[in-house]
Amino acid sequence: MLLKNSVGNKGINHIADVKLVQEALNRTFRAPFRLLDVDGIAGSKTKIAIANFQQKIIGLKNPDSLIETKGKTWDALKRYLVEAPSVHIANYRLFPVPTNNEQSSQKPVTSKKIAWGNKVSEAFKLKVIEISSDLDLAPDYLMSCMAFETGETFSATIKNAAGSGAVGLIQFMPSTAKGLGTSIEKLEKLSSIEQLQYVKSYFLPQKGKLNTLEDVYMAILYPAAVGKPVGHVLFEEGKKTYEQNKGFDSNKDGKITLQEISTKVRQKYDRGLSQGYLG
Amino acid sequence: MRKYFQSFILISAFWIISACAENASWNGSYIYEASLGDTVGGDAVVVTYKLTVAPEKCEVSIEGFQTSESIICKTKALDNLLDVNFQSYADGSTKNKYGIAIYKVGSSLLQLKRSDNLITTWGELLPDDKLPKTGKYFIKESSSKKN
Repeated sequence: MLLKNSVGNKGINHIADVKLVQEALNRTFRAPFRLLDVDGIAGSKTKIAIANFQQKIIGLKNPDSLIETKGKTWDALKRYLVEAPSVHIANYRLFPVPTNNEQSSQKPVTSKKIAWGNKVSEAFKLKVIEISSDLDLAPDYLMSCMAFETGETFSATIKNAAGSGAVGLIQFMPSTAKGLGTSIEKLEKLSSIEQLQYVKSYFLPQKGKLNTLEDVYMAILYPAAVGKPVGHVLFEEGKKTYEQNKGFDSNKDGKITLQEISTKVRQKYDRGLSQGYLG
Repeated sequence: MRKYFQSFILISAFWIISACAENASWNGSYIYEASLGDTVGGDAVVVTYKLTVAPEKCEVSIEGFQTSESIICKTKALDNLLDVNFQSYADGSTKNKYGIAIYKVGSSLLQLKRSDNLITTWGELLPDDKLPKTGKYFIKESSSKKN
């Protein structure tokens, strides 16, 4: 996957290039470090993240927040699109500093790998990349949400034994299936790849709003919260929604924020980008 | 002839006033939180139904797992019964955001009945086929909780 033009401070900042850089930068972060919005906008947070990458990971003394297509920063960052770093320091994932020989033997990066890509078929992966592009969202986010919802199986037929009636890749509820013009019975007869078309249909009305991991997850769990900040209170004590999700109230303040309830999906994101899962 | 006409006017006026009074007695917000089990990943599937009845307003908002929609409804009150029927979605369309017509205009979404308790009989809006069609679901919100 090539960067076509410069990104960052005084860069050309084409949307697709900025998104690619944001996706790559996000792969350098570890929880609980906040991920960047993958929105194609080279705003202050993205520029700061580029500068931090230049300073803390590459070791540049004078970071300029600019990524050029043939520059040192892109050379180091693009590696995150195809490999899972093994070193974890503070909130970052790093590759060991390469020797000069290793640098010259680096393979060209022509296509990116995605979170959990090593746990699904090539055809499934390609379909996820295709529908993510159509939906303007990061495939890493969609894969992490499906990994969570299916218990890491990516199965079109998986159901909870306790019986909500929900089935498949995003745990389609019977009412959701009906709203999409189908039924649970029909959805579970589809292959995982075929069911992805319904995943796309489900997310389509939210296209353009799914910039964060939390947005993609909220589109499933509580669509009214898509686009809300991570501090947004989703459920409060006294309501059934709170009682059912009480375990996520990590600071026990009687309120469950979007960030608190998204912790489990962030864990899937981090896992999906690790060695053996990125693919 | 004139007498008949006067009687007709009086009866009509009485009927309209009675109907309005019956409708007005239903004014308020009604809530039902449907707990529909868990997903494989462990999400609690909870969907909140809120019916708002006010003069010249009937709205059902549904928020929760995979759901966020607002329905404009029409009510018909008779004695201790309130019929809530589908009119359109909040944007005026009779199709949902996926372009599917789930409800016919005028079809029954639900019916409320006042007795010792508030009893709901689900129409088209039944949250889950496994739930009994009739039972204690909605509760009226106290006026202090109203926005």
